[in-house]
Amino acid sequence: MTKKKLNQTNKILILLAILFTLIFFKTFHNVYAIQRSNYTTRLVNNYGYCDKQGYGFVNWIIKTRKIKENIKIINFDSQPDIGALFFDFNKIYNKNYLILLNFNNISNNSGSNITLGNSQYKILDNYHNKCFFIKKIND
Amino acid sequence: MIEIITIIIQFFTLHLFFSTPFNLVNYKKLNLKFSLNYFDIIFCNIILHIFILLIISFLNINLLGYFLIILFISLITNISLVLKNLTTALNIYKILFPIICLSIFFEISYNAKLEWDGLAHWFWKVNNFYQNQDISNVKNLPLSQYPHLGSFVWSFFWKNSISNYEYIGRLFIPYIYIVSLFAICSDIKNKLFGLLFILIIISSSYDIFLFGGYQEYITFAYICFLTKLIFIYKNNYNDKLFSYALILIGSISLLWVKQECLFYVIFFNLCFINYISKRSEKIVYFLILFFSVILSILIEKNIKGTVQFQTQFNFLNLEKFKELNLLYIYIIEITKHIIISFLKYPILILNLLIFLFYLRIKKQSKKEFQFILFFFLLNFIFLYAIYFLHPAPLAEMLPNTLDRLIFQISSVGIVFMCKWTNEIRS
Repeated sequence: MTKKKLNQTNKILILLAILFTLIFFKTFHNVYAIQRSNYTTRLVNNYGYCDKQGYGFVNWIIKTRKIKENIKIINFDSQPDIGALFFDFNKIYNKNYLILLNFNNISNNSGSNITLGNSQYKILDNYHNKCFFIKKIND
Repeated sequence: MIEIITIIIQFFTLHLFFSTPFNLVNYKKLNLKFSLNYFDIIFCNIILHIFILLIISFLNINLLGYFLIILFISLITNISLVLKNLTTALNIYKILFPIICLSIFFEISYNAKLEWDGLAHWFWKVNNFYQNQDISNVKNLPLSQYPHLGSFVWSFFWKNSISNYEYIGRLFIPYIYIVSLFAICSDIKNKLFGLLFILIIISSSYDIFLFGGYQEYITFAYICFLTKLIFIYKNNYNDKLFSYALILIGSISLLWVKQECLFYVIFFNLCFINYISKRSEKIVYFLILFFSVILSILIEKNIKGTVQFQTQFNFLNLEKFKELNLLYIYIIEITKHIIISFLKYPILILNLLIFLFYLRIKKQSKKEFQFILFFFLLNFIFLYAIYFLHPAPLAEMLPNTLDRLIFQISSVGIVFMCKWTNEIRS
Protein backbone atom coordinates (compact mmCIF):
# COMPACT_ATOMS: atom_id res chain seq x y z
CA MET A 1 0.00 0.00 0.00
CA THR A 2 2.81 2.38 0.98
CA LYS A 3 4.74 1.44 -2.19
CA LYS A 4 1.67 2.07 -4.31
CA LYS A 5 1.24 5.45 -2.67
CA LEU A 6 4.90 6.22 -3.33
CA ASN A 7 4.51 5.35 -7.00
CA GLN A 8 1.53 7.62 -7.22
CA THR A 9 3.51 10.41 -5.57
CA ASN A 10 6.31 9.81 -8.10
CA LYS A 11 3.89 10.05 -10.98
CA ILE A 12 2.49 13.30 -9.65
CA LEU A 13 6.01 14.69 -9.23
CA ILE A 14 6.93 13.68 -12.78
CA LEU A 15 3.80 15.35 -14.08
CA LEU A 16 4.70 18.46 -12.09
CA ALA A 17 8.20 18.37 -13.59
CA ILE A 18 6.75 18.16 -17.09
CA LEU A 19 4.35 20.98 -16.32
CA PHE A 20 7.20 23.08 -14.94
CA THR A 21 9.18 22.47 -18.14
CA LEU A 22 6.27 23.45 -20.37
CA ILE A 23 5.63 26.61 -18.37
CA PHE A 24 9.30 27.55 -17.95
CA PHE A 25 9.95 27.39 -21.70
CA LYS A 26 6.54 28.91 -22.57
CA THR A 27 6.01 25.87 -24.78
CA PHE A 28 2.25 26.31 -25.25
CA HIS A 29 2.69 29.94 -26.26
CA ASN A 30 5.59 29.15 -28.58
CA VAL A 31 3.79 26.30 -30.33
CA TYR A 32 0.71 28.50 -30.74
CA ALA A 33 2.82 31.38 -32.09
CA ILE A 34 4.70 29.14 -34.55
CA GLN A 35 1.36 27.78 -35.70
CA ARG A 36 -0.13 31.26 -36.11
CA SER A 37 2.71 33.10 -37.86
CA ASN A 38 5.03 31.78 -40.51
CA TYR A 39 8.83 31.87 -40.40
CA THR A 40 9.21 35.10 -42.40
CA THR A 41 6.63 36.91 -40.28
CA ARG A 42 8.46 35.87 -37.11
CA LEU A 43 11.76 37.05 -38.58
CA VAL A 44 10.21 40.41 -39.43
CA ASN A 45 8.77 40.63 -35.90
CA ASN A 46 12.18 39.90 -34.40
CA TYR A 47 14.54 41.71 -36.76
CA GLY A 48 12.10 44.55 -37.52
CA TYR A 49 10.75 45.77 -40.85
CA CYS A 50 12.49 49.09 -41.20
CA ASP A 51 13.71 49.39 -37.64
CA LYS A 52 16.40 47.34 -35.81
CA GLN A 53 18.10 45.13 -38.44
CA GLY A 54 15.46 45.90 -41.06
CA TYR A 55 14.91 42.34 -42.21
CA GLY A 56 11.45 43.04 -43.61
CA PHE A 57 12.54 45.88 -45.90
CA VAL A 58 15.62 44.05 -47.21
CA ASN A 59 13.64 40.86 -47.79
CA TRP A 60 10.93 42.79 -49.63
CA ILE A 61 13.43 44.59 -51.88
CA ILE A 62 15.27 41.38 -52.75
CA LYS A 63 12.05 39.52 -53.51
CA THR A 64 10.26 42.20 -55.49
CA ARG A 65 13.21 43.73 -57.34
CA LYS A 66 14.60 40.33 -58.34
CA ILE A 67 18.17 41.58 -58.28
CA LYS A 68 20.62 38.95 -59.37
CA GLU A 69 23.66 40.24 -57.49
CA ASN A 70 24.50 40.88 -53.84
CA ILE A 71 23.62 44.34 -52.60
CA LYS A 72 25.47 46.20 -49.90
CA ILE A 73 23.30 47.00 -46.89
CA ILE A 74 24.17 49.96 -44.69
CA ASN A 75 22.44 50.21 -41.33
CA PHE A 76 22.79 53.66 -39.77
CA ASP A 77 21.64 52.31 -36.42
CA SER A 78 24.04 50.41 -34.17
CA GLN A 79 22.91 46.96 -35.25
CA PRO A 80 24.71 43.89 -36.60
CA ASP A 81 24.81 43.61 -40.38
CA ILE A 82 21.95 41.53 -41.71
CA GLY A 83 23.73 41.03 -45.03
CA ALA A 84 24.87 37.50 -44.15
CA LEU A 85 21.27 36.28 -44.30
CA PHE A 86 20.91 37.33 -47.93
CA PHE A 87 24.45 36.86 -49.20
CA ASP A 88 25.02 34.50 -52.09
CA PHE A 89 28.64 33.38 -52.46
CA ASN A 90 28.12 32.58 -56.12
CA LYS A 91 27.15 36.15 -56.97
CA ILE A 92 29.17 39.34 -57.10
CA TYR A 93 28.37 42.65 -55.39
CA ASN A 94 26.51 45.15 -57.49
CA LYS A 95 28.17 48.41 -56.53
CA ASN A 96 25.47 50.52 -58.16
CA TYR A 97 22.78 49.58 -55.68
CA LEU A 98 22.57 50.20 -51.95
CA ILE A 99 20.04 49.49 -49.23
CA LEU A 100 20.00 52.06 -46.46
CA LEU A 101 18.36 51.20 -43.16
CA ASN A 102 17.47 53.59 -40.33
CA PHE A 103 18.69 56.49 -42.47
CA ASN A 104 17.59 59.71 -40.78
CA ASN A 105 19.89 62.21 -42.44
CA ILE A 106 17.23 64.43 -44.06
CA SER A 107 19.78 67.02 -45.22
CA ASN A 108 21.18 64.44 -47.65
CA ASN A 109 17.74 63.52 -48.91
CA SER A 110 16.25 65.78 -51.60
CA GLY A 111 13.10 63.73 -52.14
CA SER A 112 14.15 61.82 -55.23
CA ASN A 113 17.90 61.72 -54.69
CA ILE A 114 20.26 60.96 -51.81
CA THR A 115 23.83 62.17 -51.46
CA LEU A 116 26.29 59.80 -49.83
CA GLY A 117 29.86 61.01 -49.72
CA ASN A 118 30.59 62.41 -53.17
CA SER A 119 28.05 60.25 -54.92
CA GLN A 120 24.47 60.92 -55.90
CA TYR A 121 21.94 58.12 -55.67
CA LYS A 122 18.45 57.89 -57.10
CA ILE A 123 15.80 56.63 -54.69
CA LEU A 124 14.11 53.55 -56.11
CA ASP A 125 12.20 52.65 -52.97
CA ASN A 126 11.48 54.67 -49.89
CA TYR A 127 9.89 53.33 -46.74
CA HIS A 128 8.75 56.07 -44.34
CA ASN A 129 11.79 58.20 -45.21
CA LYS A 130 13.86 55.80 -43.13
CA CYS A 131 14.74 52.84 -45.33
CA PHE A 132 15.82 53.29 -48.91
CA PHE A 133 16.73 51.27 -51.93
CA ILE A 134 18.95 53.48 -54.06
CA LYS A 135 20.84 53.36 -57.33
CA LYS A 136 23.98 55.29 -58.16
CA ILE A 137 23.45 58.05 -60.73
CA ASN A 138 26.05 57.91 -63.50
CA ASP A 139 28.32 60.95 -63.60
CA MET B 1 1.82 22.81 -38.45
CA ILE B 2 4.48 21.83 -41.01
CA GLU B 3 7.10 23.80 -39.08
CA ILE B 4 6.18 22.06 -35.82
CA ILE B 5 6.43 18.66 -37.47
CA THR B 6 9.77 19.69 -38.99
CA ILE B 7 11.10 20.57 -35.53
CA ILE B 8 9.92 17.23 -34.10
CA ILE B 9 11.52 15.39 -37.03
CA GLN B 10 14.74 17.33 -36.43
CA PHE B 11 14.78 16.15 -32.82
CA PHE B 12 14.47 12.53 -33.93
CA THR B 13 17.08 13.06 -36.65
CA LEU B 14 19.57 14.46 -34.13
CA HIS B 15 18.78 11.66 -31.71
CA LEU B 16 19.15 9.00 -34.35
CA PHE B 17 22.34 10.54 -35.72
CA PHE B 18 23.96 10.61 -32.29
CA SER B 19 22.77 7.12 -31.32
CA THR B 20 25.59 5.42 -33.17
CA PRO B 21 28.30 3.98 -33.22
CA PHE B 22 28.15 3.35 -29.45
CA ASN B 23 24.99 2.07 -27.80
CA LEU B 24 24.13 0.52 -24.45
CA VAL B 25 24.84 -2.99 -25.77
CA ASN B 26 27.97 -2.69 -27.89
CA TYR B 27 29.92 -0.38 -25.57
CA LYS B 28 30.15 -3.28 -23.09
CA LYS B 29 32.51 -5.00 -25.54
CA LEU B 30 35.03 -2.31 -24.61
CA ASN B 31 35.34 -4.06 -21.23
CA LEU B 32 35.11 -0.89 -19.21
CA LYS B 33 35.03 -1.11 -15.43
CA PHE B 34 32.72 1.85 -15.16
CA SER B 35 29.21 1.88 -16.51
CA LEU B 36 27.92 4.55 -18.82
CA ASN B 37 24.32 5.67 -18.77
CA TYR B 38 22.12 6.19 -21.83
CA PHE B 39 23.01 9.89 -22.13
CA ASP B 40 26.72 9.29 -21.56
CA ILE B 41 26.74 7.08 -24.61
CA ILE B 42 24.94 9.69 -26.69
CA PHE B 43 27.52 12.26 -25.63
CA CYS B 44 30.39 9.90 -26.51
CA ASN B 45 28.81 9.65 -29.96
CA ILE B 46 28.48 13.44 -30.11
CA ILE B 47 32.20 13.85 -29.38
CA LEU B 48 33.07 11.25 -31.98
CA HIS B 49 30.80 12.63 -34.72
CA ILE B 50 31.77 16.23 -34.16
CA PHE B 51 35.43 15.23 -34.35
CA ILE B 52 34.75 13.38 -37.62
CA LEU B 53 32.93 16.47 -38.89
CA LEU B 54 35.98 18.55 -37.95
CA ILE B 55 38.15 16.31 -40.13
CA ILE B 56 35.56 16.34 -42.92
CA SER B 57 35.51 20.15 -42.82
CA PHE B 58 39.11 20.16 -44.09
CA LEU B 59 38.37 17.70 -46.88
CA ASN B 60 35.97 17.72 -49.78
CA ILE B 61 33.80 14.82 -48.67
CA ASN B 62 30.16 14.41 -49.57
CA LEU B 63 28.33 15.53 -46.43
CA LEU B 64 24.95 14.19 -47.49
CA GLY B 65 26.53 10.77 -48.03
CA TYR B 66 28.05 10.78 -44.55
CA PHE B 67 24.78 11.96 -43.01
CA LEU B 68 22.70 9.28 -44.72
CA ILE B 69 25.17 6.49 -43.95
CA ILE B 70 25.18 7.35 -40.24
CA LEU B 71 21.39 7.63 -40.15
CA PHE B 72 21.01 4.32 -41.95
CA ILE B 73 23.45 2.49 -39.64
CA SER B 74 21.78 4.00 -36.60
CA LEU B 75 18.33 3.07 -37.84
CA ILE B 76 19.32 -0.55 -38.52
CA THR B 77 21.10 -0.81 -35.14
CA ASN B 78 18.16 0.62 -33.24
CA ILE B 79 15.64 -1.59 -35.01
CA SER B 80 17.72 -4.69 -34.28
CA LEU B 81 18.02 -3.66 -30.61
CA VAL B 82 14.25 -3.29 -30.40
CA LEU B 83 13.68 -6.63 -32.13
CA LYS B 84 16.12 -8.39 -29.81
CA ASN B 85 14.46 -6.67 -26.87
CA LEU B 86 17.77 -5.17 -25.79
CA THR B 87 16.57 -1.63 -25.30
CA THR B 88 16.42 -0.27 -21.78
CA ALA B 89 13.12 0.44 -20.09
CA LEU B 90 11.53 3.83 -20.30
CA ASN B 91 12.38 5.93 -17.26
CA ILE B 92 11.63 9.45 -16.12
CA TYR B 93 14.77 10.81 -17.77
CA LYS B 94 13.83 9.35 -21.12
CA ILE B 95 10.35 10.84 -20.80
CA LEU B 96 11.55 14.29 -19.77
CA PHE B 97 14.48 14.52 -22.20
CA PRO B 98 12.46 14.92 -25.43
CA ILE B 99 10.01 17.25 -23.69
CA ILE B 100 12.80 19.61 -22.59
CA CYS B 101 14.60 19.40 -25.94
CA LEU B 102 11.46 20.08 -27.93
CA SER B 103 10.44 22.92 -25.61
CA ILE B 104 13.78 24.64 -26.23
CA PHE B 105 13.55 23.91 -29.96
CA PHE B 106 10.12 25.57 -30.08
CA GLU B 107 11.39 28.60 -28.21
CA ILE B 108 14.32 28.95 -30.63
CA SER B 109 11.92 28.57 -33.53
CA TYR B 110 9.59 31.22 -32.12
CA ASN B 111 12.46 33.66 -31.60
CA ALA B 112 14.12 32.59 -34.86
CA LYS B 113 16.50 35.56 -34.92
CA LEU B 114 20.25 35.48 -34.61
CA GLU B 115 21.74 37.67 -31.94
CA TRP B 116 24.65 40.06 -32.50
CA ASP B 117 27.62 37.69 -32.77
CA GLY B 118 25.53 35.04 -34.46
CA LEU B 119 24.52 37.43 -37.20
CA ALA B 120 27.67 39.49 -37.53
CA HIS B 121 30.27 36.73 -37.28
CA TRP B 122 29.16 33.11 -36.99
CA PHE B 123 26.46 33.07 -39.64
CA TRP B 124 28.88 34.16 -42.36
CA LYS B 125 30.78 30.93 -41.80
CA VAL B 126 27.57 28.90 -41.64
CA ASN B 127 26.42 30.40 -44.93
CA ASN B 128 29.84 29.74 -46.42
CA PHE B 129 29.57 26.00 -45.75
CA TYR B 130 25.85 25.90 -46.51
CA GLN B 131 26.55 27.25 -49.97
CA ASN B 132 29.22 24.60 -50.61
CA GLN B 133 32.16 26.96 -50.25
CA ASP B 134 35.18 25.25 -48.83
CA ILE B 135 37.21 26.09 -45.77
CA SER B 136 39.78 28.15 -47.67
CA ASN B 137 37.08 30.78 -48.26
CA VAL B 138 36.74 31.37 -44.50
CA LYS B 139 39.72 33.74 -44.60
CA ASN B 140 37.67 36.12 -46.77
CA LEU B 141 34.84 36.38 -44.23
CA PRO B 142 34.33 38.87 -41.37
CA LEU B 143 36.34 37.87 -38.28
CA SER B 144 37.95 35.00 -40.13
CA GLN B 145 40.14 34.27 -37.11
CA TYR B 146 37.10 32.79 -35.32
CA PRO B 147 37.17 28.97 -35.49
CA HIS B 148 34.72 27.28 -37.82
CA LEU B 149 33.66 23.97 -36.24
CA GLY B 150 30.43 25.17 -34.59
CA SER B 151 29.39 26.91 -37.81
CA PHE B 152 30.29 23.85 -39.85
CA VAL B 153 28.14 21.51 -37.73
CA TRP B 154 25.34 24.10 -37.82
CA SER B 155 25.46 24.20 -41.62
CA PHE B 156 25.71 20.39 -41.74
CA PHE B 157 22.40 19.92 -39.91
CA TRP B 158 20.78 22.82 -41.74
CA LYS B 159 21.76 21.42 -45.12
CA ASN B 160 20.65 17.93 -44.19
CA SER B 161 17.27 18.92 -42.81
CA ILE B 162 13.96 18.53 -44.55
CA SER B 163 13.28 22.26 -44.40
CA ASN B 164 15.11 25.41 -45.30
CA TYR B 165 14.79 27.17 -41.95
CA GLU B 166 18.20 28.37 -40.78
CA TYR B 167 17.49 27.76 -37.07
CA ILE B 168 16.97 24.03 -37.70
CA GLY B 169 20.74 23.72 -38.16
CA ARG B 170 21.58 25.20 -34.77
CA LEU B 171 19.18 23.00 -32.81
CA PHE B 172 22.10 20.64 -32.26
CA ILE B 173 23.44 23.17 -29.71
CA PRO B 174 20.52 22.89 -27.23
CA TYR B 175 20.48 19.16 -27.94
CA ILE B 176 24.05 18.61 -26.76
CA TYR B 177 23.51 21.00 -23.84
CA ILE B 178 20.57 18.96 -22.59
CA VAL B 179 22.34 15.63 -23.23
CA SER B 180 25.30 16.79 -21.14
CA LEU B 181 23.03 17.73 -18.22
CA PHE B 182 21.11 14.46 -18.39
CA ALA B 183 24.39 12.55 -18.61
CA ILE B 184 25.55 13.91 -15.27
CA CYS B 185 22.18 13.98 -13.49
CA SER B 186 21.10 10.47 -14.56
CA ASP B 187 23.79 9.11 -12.28
CA ILE B 188 22.05 10.44 -9.20
CA LYS B 189 20.66 7.32 -7.53
CA ASN B 190 17.44 8.91 -6.36
CA LYS B 191 15.68 9.56 -9.65
CA LEU B 192 13.35 12.20 -8.30
CA PHE B 193 16.26 14.08 -6.79
CA GLY B 194 18.02 13.76 -10.16
CA LEU B 195 14.95 15.12 -11.89
CA LEU B 196 14.81 18.05 -9.51
CA PHE B 197 18.51 18.68 -10.03
CA ILE B 198 18.10 18.76 -13.82
CA LEU B 199 15.32 21.31 -13.53
CA ILE B 200 17.36 23.46 -11.14
CA ILE B 201 20.44 23.35 -13.38
CA ILE B 202 18.47 24.13 -16.52
CA SER B 203 16.57 26.99 -14.95
CA SER B 204 19.81 28.43 -13.62
CA SER B 205 21.79 28.10 -16.84
CA TYR B 206 19.24 28.57 -19.61
CA ASP B 207 19.56 31.72 -21.69
CA ILE B 208 17.67 31.92 -24.97
CA PHE B 209 19.99 34.77 -26.06
CA LEU B 210 22.93 32.35 -26.21
CA PHE B 211 20.96 30.07 -28.53
CA GLY B 212 20.80 32.93 -31.04
CA GLY B 213 23.88 31.76 -32.88
CA TYR B 214 26.39 31.85 -30.03
CA GLN B 215 28.63 28.83 -29.40
CA GLU B 216 28.92 29.07 -25.61
CA TYR B 217 26.66 26.10 -24.91
CA ILE B 218 28.92 23.82 -26.98
CA THR B 219 31.85 24.64 -24.71
CA PHE B 220 29.61 24.37 -21.66
CA ALA B 221 28.40 20.89 -22.66
CA TYR B 222 31.83 19.62 -23.65
CA ILE B 223 33.50 20.77 -20.45
CA CYS B 224 30.63 19.25 -18.49
CA PHE B 225 30.93 15.82 -20.07
CA LEU B 226 34.72 15.72 -20.26
CA THR B 227 34.85 16.51 -16.53
CA LYS B 228 32.49 13.63 -15.91
CA LEU B 229 34.75 11.32 -17.93
CA ILE B 230 37.67 12.30 -15.73
CA PHE B 231 35.73 11.53 -12.58
CA ILE B 232 34.36 8.13 -13.61
CA TYR B 233 37.28 6.23 -15.07
CA LYS B 234 38.79 3.50 -12.95
CA ASN B 235 42.40 2.47 -12.79
CA ASN B 236 42.00 -0.03 -15.58
CA TYR B 237 43.73 -0.08 -18.98
CA ASN B 238 40.56 -0.07 -21.12
CA ASP B 239 38.93 2.62 -19.00
CA LYS B 240 41.96 4.85 -19.31
CA LEU B 241 42.32 4.35 -23.03
CA PHE B 242 38.63 5.11 -23.58
CA SER B 243 38.62 8.19 -21.34
CA TYR B 244 41.97 9.56 -22.56
CA ALA B 245 40.93 9.16 -26.20
CA LEU B 246 37.58 10.90 -25.69
CA ILE B 247 39.05 13.71 -23.58
CA LEU B 248 41.74 14.21 -26.20
CA ILE B 249 39.45 14.36 -29.24
CA GLY B 250 36.94 16.40 -27.25
CA SER B 251 39.70 18.88 -26.37
CA ILE B 252 40.90 19.08 -29.97
CA SER B 253 37.34 19.70 -31.17
CA LEU B 254 36.92 22.46 -28.59
CA LEU B 255 39.97 24.25 -30.03
CA TRP B 256 37.97 24.71 -33.23
CA VAL B 257 34.81 25.98 -31.52
CA LYS B 258 35.90 29.26 -29.95
CA GLN B 259 39.14 31.17 -29.61
CA GLU B 260 39.10 31.27 -25.82
CA CYS B 261 38.75 27.49 -25.84
CA LEU B 262 42.51 27.30 -26.42
CA PHE B 263 42.92 28.52 -22.83
CA TYR B 264 40.09 26.37 -21.47
CA VAL B 265 41.64 23.32 -23.14
CA ILE B 266 45.10 24.11 -21.75
CA PHE B 267 43.77 24.71 -18.21
CA PHE B 268 41.44 21.71 -18.31
CA ASN B 269 44.15 19.36 -19.51
CA LEU B 270 46.75 20.73 -17.10
CA CYS B 271 44.37 19.89 -14.26
CA PHE B 272 43.66 16.52 -15.85
CA ILE B 273 47.35 15.69 -16.22
CA ASN B 274 47.77 16.59 -12.56
CA TYR B 275 44.87 14.22 -11.83
CA ILE B 276 46.44 11.26 -13.70
CA SER B 277 48.26 9.14 -11.17
CA LYS B 278 50.92 7.38 -13.33
CA ARG B 279 53.90 9.50 -14.34
CA SER B 280 54.44 7.69 -17.65
CA GLU B 281 50.81 8.23 -18.63
CA LYS B 282 51.06 11.90 -17.72
CA ILE B 283 54.02 12.31 -20.07
CA VAL B 284 52.46 10.35 -22.96
CA TYR B 285 49.14 12.19 -22.64
CA PHE B 286 50.88 15.56 -22.43
CA LEU B 287 52.99 14.86 -25.52
CA ILE B 288 50.01 13.72 -27.60
CA LEU B 289 48.00 16.75 -26.51
CA PHE B 290 50.90 19.12 -27.13
CA PHE B 291 51.46 17.85 -30.68
CA SER B 292 47.71 17.90 -31.35
CA VAL B 293 47.49 21.56 -30.31
CA ILE B 294 50.55 22.43 -32.41
CA LEU B 295 49.07 20.52 -35.36
CA SER B 296 45.77 22.38 -34.96
CA ILE B 297 47.59 25.73 -34.95
CA LEU B 298 49.60 24.76 -38.04
CA ILE B 299 46.46 23.65 -39.88
CA GLU B 300 44.78 26.94 -39.01
CA LYS B 301 47.82 28.88 -40.19
CA ASN B 302 47.83 26.91 -43.43
CA ILE B 303 44.15 27.67 -44.05
CA LYS B 304 43.98 31.30 -42.99
CA GLY B 305 47.57 32.32 -43.65
CA THR B 306 47.93 33.53 -40.08
CA VAL B 307 46.92 32.61 -36.53
CA GLN B 308 45.69 35.53 -34.50
CA PHE B 309 43.19 36.42 -31.84
CA GLN B 310 40.35 38.85 -32.37
CA THR B 311 42.45 41.47 -30.61
CA GLN B 312 46.20 41.81 -30.58
CA PHE B 313 47.22 41.42 -26.96
CA ASN B 314 50.31 43.36 -26.10
CA PHE B 315 52.24 43.42 -22.85
CA LEU B 316 52.87 47.12 -23.49
CA ASN B 317 49.22 47.59 -22.49
CA LEU B 318 50.38 46.90 -18.94
CA GLU B 319 52.33 50.16 -18.94
CA LYS B 320 49.15 52.06 -18.17
CA PHE B 321 49.13 50.42 -14.73
CA LYS B 322 52.04 52.58 -13.67
CA GLU B 323 49.19 54.56 -12.22
CA LEU B 324 48.19 52.40 -9.26
CA ASN B 325 44.78 54.02 -9.19
CA LEU B 326 43.98 52.52 -12.59
CA LEU B 327 44.98 49.09 -11.34
CA TYR B 328 42.46 49.36 -8.50
CA ILE B 329 39.78 50.54 -10.91
CA TYR B 330 40.44 47.55 -13.19
CA ILE B 331 40.32 45.05 -10.31
CA ILE B 332 37.13 46.57 -8.91
CA GLU B 333 35.41 46.76 -12.31
CA ILE B 334 36.30 43.18 -13.31
CA THR B 335 35.23 41.86 -9.90
CA LYS B 336 31.99 43.83 -10.12
CA HIS B 337 31.17 42.24 -13.47
CA ILE B 338 32.08 38.80 -12.17
CA ILE B 339 29.48 39.31 -9.43
CA ILE B 340 26.96 40.51 -12.04
CA SER B 341 27.67 37.32 -14.04
CA PHE B 342 26.91 35.23 -10.97
CA LEU B 343 23.53 36.92 -10.72
CA LYS B 344 22.87 36.61 -14.45
CA TYR B 345 23.72 32.90 -14.52
CA PRO B 346 22.79 31.44 -11.12
CA ILE B 347 24.51 28.18 -12.10
CA LEU B 348 27.68 30.00 -11.08
CA ILE B 349 26.25 30.34 -7.58
CA LEU B 350 25.66 26.55 -7.59
CA ASN B 351 29.35 26.20 -8.41
CA LEU B 352 30.17 28.27 -5.36
CA LEU B 353 28.24 25.83 -3.21
CA ILE B 354 30.81 23.09 -3.88
CA PHE B 355 33.20 25.00 -1.69
CA LEU B 356 30.71 24.63 1.14
CA PHE B 357 30.35 20.92 0.36
CA TYR B 358 34.10 20.50 0.55
CA LEU B 359 33.94 20.24 4.32
CA ARG B 360 31.69 17.19 4.13
CA ILE B 361 33.19 15.22 1.22
CA LYS B 362 34.98 11.93 1.58
CA LYS B 363 38.73 11.72 1.29
CA GLN B 364 38.70 10.08 -2.16
CA SER B 365 36.81 13.05 -3.56
CA LYS B 366 39.43 15.52 -2.47
CA LYS B 367 41.49 14.92 -5.60
CA GLU B 368 38.45 15.74 -7.70
CA PHE B 369 37.86 18.84 -5.63
CA GLN B 370 41.47 19.85 -6.24
CA PHE B 371 40.88 19.43 -9.98
CA ILE B 372 37.94 21.83 -9.87
CA LEU B 373 39.68 24.29 -7.58
CA PHE B 374 42.75 24.54 -9.83
CA PHE B 375 40.61 24.75 -12.93
CA PHE B 376 38.61 27.67 -11.55
CA LEU B 377 41.72 29.33 -10.20
CA LEU B 378 43.50 29.20 -13.57
CA ASN B 379 40.40 30.46 -15.32
CA PHE B 380 39.91 33.40 -12.99
CA ILE B 381 43.58 34.38 -13.35
CA PHE B 382 43.03 34.16 -17.11
CA LEU B 383 39.94 36.38 -16.85
CA TYR B 384 41.73 39.14 -15.01
CA ALA B 385 44.81 38.83 -17.26
CA ILE B 386 42.80 39.08 -20.46
CA TYR B 387 41.14 42.35 -19.44
CA PHE B 388 44.40 43.78 -18.13
CA LEU B 389 46.04 43.11 -21.49
CA HIS B 390 43.10 44.06 -23.70
CA PRO B 391 43.55 47.41 -25.44
CA ALA B 392 39.81 48.26 -25.57
CA PRO B 393 38.17 50.26 -22.77
CA LEU B 394 36.77 48.16 -19.94
CA ALA B 395 33.32 49.74 -20.13
CA GLU B 396 33.00 48.50 -23.68
CA MET B 397 34.34 44.99 -23.12
CA LEU B 398 33.17 43.82 -19.71
CA PRO B 399 29.37 43.97 -20.02
CA ASN B 400 29.41 42.12 -23.35
CA THR B 401 31.95 39.40 -22.81
CA LEU B 402 32.79 38.54 -19.22
CA ASP B 403 29.53 36.78 -18.33
CA ARG B 404 29.86 34.47 -21.33
CA LEU B 405 33.49 33.69 -20.56
CA ILE B 406 32.61 32.53 -17.04
CA PHE B 407 29.41 30.80 -18.09
CA GLN B 408 31.26 28.39 -20.38
CA ILE B 409 33.23 26.90 -17.53
CA SER B 410 30.35 26.83 -15.05
CA SER B 411 29.46 23.22 -15.81
CA VAL B 412 32.53 21.85 -14.05
CA GLY B 413 31.22 22.36 -10.54
CA ILE B 414 27.84 20.75 -11.15
CA VAL B 415 29.50 17.50 -12.26
CA PHE B 416 31.15 17.35 -8.90
CA MET B 417 27.89 18.21 -7.14
CA CYS B 418 26.02 15.35 -8.84
CA LYS B 419 28.75 12.90 -7.92
CA TRP B 420 28.93 14.24 -4.40
CA THR B 421 25.15 13.92 -3.99
CA ASN B 422 25.44 10.15 -4.39
CA GLU B 423 28.29 9.95 -1.93
CA ILE B 424 26.51 11.88 0.75
CA ARG B 425 23.28 9.92 0.30
CA SER B 426 24.97 6.50 0.36
